[in-house]
Amino acid sequence: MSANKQWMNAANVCLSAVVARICMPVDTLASLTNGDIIEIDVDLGADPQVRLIVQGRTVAIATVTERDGVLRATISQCGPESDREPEKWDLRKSGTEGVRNS
Amino acid sequence: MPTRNHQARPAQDEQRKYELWRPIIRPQRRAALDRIHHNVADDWSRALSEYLPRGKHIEFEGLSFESYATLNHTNGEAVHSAVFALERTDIGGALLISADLASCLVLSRLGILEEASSDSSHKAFTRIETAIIREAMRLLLTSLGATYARAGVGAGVLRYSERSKDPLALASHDYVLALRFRLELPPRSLTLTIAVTRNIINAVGDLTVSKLGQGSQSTGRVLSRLPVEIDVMLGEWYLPLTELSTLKPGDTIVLPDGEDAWLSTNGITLMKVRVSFGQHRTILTLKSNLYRNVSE
Repeated sequence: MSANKQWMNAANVCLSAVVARICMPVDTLASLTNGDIIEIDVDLGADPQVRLIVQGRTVAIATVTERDGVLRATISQCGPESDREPEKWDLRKSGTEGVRNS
Repeated sequence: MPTRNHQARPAQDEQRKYELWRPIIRPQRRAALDRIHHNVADDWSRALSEYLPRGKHIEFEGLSFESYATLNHTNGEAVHSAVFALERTDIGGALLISADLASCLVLSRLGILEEASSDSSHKAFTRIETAIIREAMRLLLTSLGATYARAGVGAGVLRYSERSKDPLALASHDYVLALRFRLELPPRSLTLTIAVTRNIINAVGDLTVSKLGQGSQSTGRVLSRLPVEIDVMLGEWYLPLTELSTLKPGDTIVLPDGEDAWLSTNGITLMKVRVSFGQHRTILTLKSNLYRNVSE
């Protein structure tokens, strides 16, 4: 690595594994208590996916697998392509999440 | 219950020398108290409609500061009293009903006021008559608490007692706000007084804040409907840009918390959830409410 790119070793960024992005009113959020269930209309099915997000941008899509009780995210797609079709996981506008009180 | 005192009541407009420690009140706040107690009188007249002679109303006469002992001695020949405390405040007080008024309430309730003598002297009350007075006092105090609560002072009468030894009772040397009411029944003027601790003045001062509070409630209603964007997070890592740039399909990241996820908004963790991946839906079961700033 060239000297002028060594700063990239020091520059930490936050990588988040996000299942979905949802939206709810303040009072609904405030009323949530232990045991409540939020159903979100993300069909992850047999092939559940998470978005790896940096600074609000999807940099990769990963498939979630489980082995020996440990969840792993295996990257299936990288780069700009993964930032497409946000409507599959970004439910802020579709409003398809529902809250069920326990 | 009745206690007898024999000193004359001073004239309302009597100019008295200012005594050290006598509380003072600003005109604006006095006006607010006046307004509240005119409402108290109206509400009492409605609440006691079955106890008052037809067409008669209780009227608010005015307020003054007096020591509780003086008030007890000047309120009338005989007094029926109950002490009370206002809920969610340190405000307490006493309701003092003159024997004349108590007698009037009883006779009206029994429907025999017209037959009663206009002479203010009266015999001791029977058990039934005492029960009627108690019920009237209960109505008066309930109505008083409700009117105060409407004005932003307390949340109703917390409890009351007719026992003068009750811990709620005011100390005799306390300066209290004396709020005088009357029922005109010519040729007599029957009196009813509230002696209330002077911290009610500050509570009425809070009335302005309370009015602002009503506005902020409507702001609160708008705020409660504001949408909050929430990320359902399965993991979060800090890594150097170089490491990030080398990520490629097939790389595996161990999700640190298993099936545990959390809801996050703007870097603030709101609550932990368990994620279940269903056939067509994803189920988040709330595990624990927490508030944690990620930067901590």
